[in-house]
Amino acid sequence: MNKDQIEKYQERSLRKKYNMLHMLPTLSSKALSGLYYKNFHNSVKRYQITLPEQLRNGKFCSYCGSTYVPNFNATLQITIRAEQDALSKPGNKNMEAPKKCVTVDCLNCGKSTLFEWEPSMIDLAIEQDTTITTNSTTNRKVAPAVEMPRKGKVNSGKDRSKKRKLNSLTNLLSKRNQEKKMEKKKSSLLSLESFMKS
Amino acid sequence: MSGSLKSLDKKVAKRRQVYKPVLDNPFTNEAHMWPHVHDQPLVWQLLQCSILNKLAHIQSKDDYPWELYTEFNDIVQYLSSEGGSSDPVCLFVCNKDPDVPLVLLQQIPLLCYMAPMVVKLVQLPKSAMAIFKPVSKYGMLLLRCDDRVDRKFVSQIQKNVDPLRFPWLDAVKYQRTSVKLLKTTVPIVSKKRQK
Repeated sequence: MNKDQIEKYQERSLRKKYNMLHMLPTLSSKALSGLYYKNFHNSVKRYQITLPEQLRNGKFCSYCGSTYVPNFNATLQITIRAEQDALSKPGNKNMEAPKKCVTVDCLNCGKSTLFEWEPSMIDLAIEQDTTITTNSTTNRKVAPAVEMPRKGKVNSGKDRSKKRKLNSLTNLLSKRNQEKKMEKKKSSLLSLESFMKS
Repeated sequence: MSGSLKSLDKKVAKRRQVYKPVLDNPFTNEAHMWPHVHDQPLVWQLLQCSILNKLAHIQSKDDYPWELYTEFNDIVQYLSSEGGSSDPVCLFVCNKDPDVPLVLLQQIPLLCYMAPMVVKLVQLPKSAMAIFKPVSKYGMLLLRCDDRVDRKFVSQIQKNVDPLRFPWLDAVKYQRTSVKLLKTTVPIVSKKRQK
């Protein structure tokens, strides 16, 4: 298989596994959810894909792997947690405001998960990126939930060090010089052609 | 010469980073979890004129002229209660503002879809939260569309907002069996004859 085929295969298999996770609420066997969830995550890990925030948090039960569907296998609630740590630490600004939390109870396995009240800043960041690529006039943007930044190894230390080197002053200067040279060459080429034609 | 050609090639082959939707497909329908609003400015204007402006002048929540829910827990309770009134319901959410956590936002379309009544989920434009703040701190407003609400307002919203669609939940969703009574006749049998 060449690179394209591999990519296509990965996409297809991931999509299939993701769909299977969504099929589960329809099936009556609850036991399968853990298996499918683990399978999906293993392949995500194998293909080195960074999942968007929505899929990592609050979409699937992390204990039994079932997809949360409110009114069917999950209940949502906003609770206020009296923060013990905040009280113990002096100078903490959260002291006055008790922390809001989102509690999701999984009715499948009976476990409840607490999510901190985090403003959805990530959502906005991704959306801004997509607006550049998609037509901004249409309202029907591709939702960030589905956006899969195909980063692969982008976040590895090697790349970061490479980037750092690229951004150094000498490098930038040399780049500029090169560009200037290129432009000169281009103009010279053009002039030659025009000369030939005439 | 060859050097310049190479660098030209490099310039052409420079790749731009784009976001590729990998997991979207018609089955999970994730890209369109929030129903499309056709005329966003109109809907927002309508909501402001006919609901929000009036609410701003009312001091206590008991005096609200309509049946409204602004607390998240109340909204969840209303949407999950069965056997209540079957009036259609409109839920307005500021889903493009950064004040509400993602965990909550992504469950709202599913919650509306699974509710026993018909729910019109309306997403509001960016920075709608600023106007919503005095009414609801969560940026959500559930309005029961009964007789007290202006009919034109309701019909405009019904017309401009797409219905929710989740193909993977079709089999799970609770659907009312449509029990109807048919006018017919049965022979009168006396009890004595039966014995």
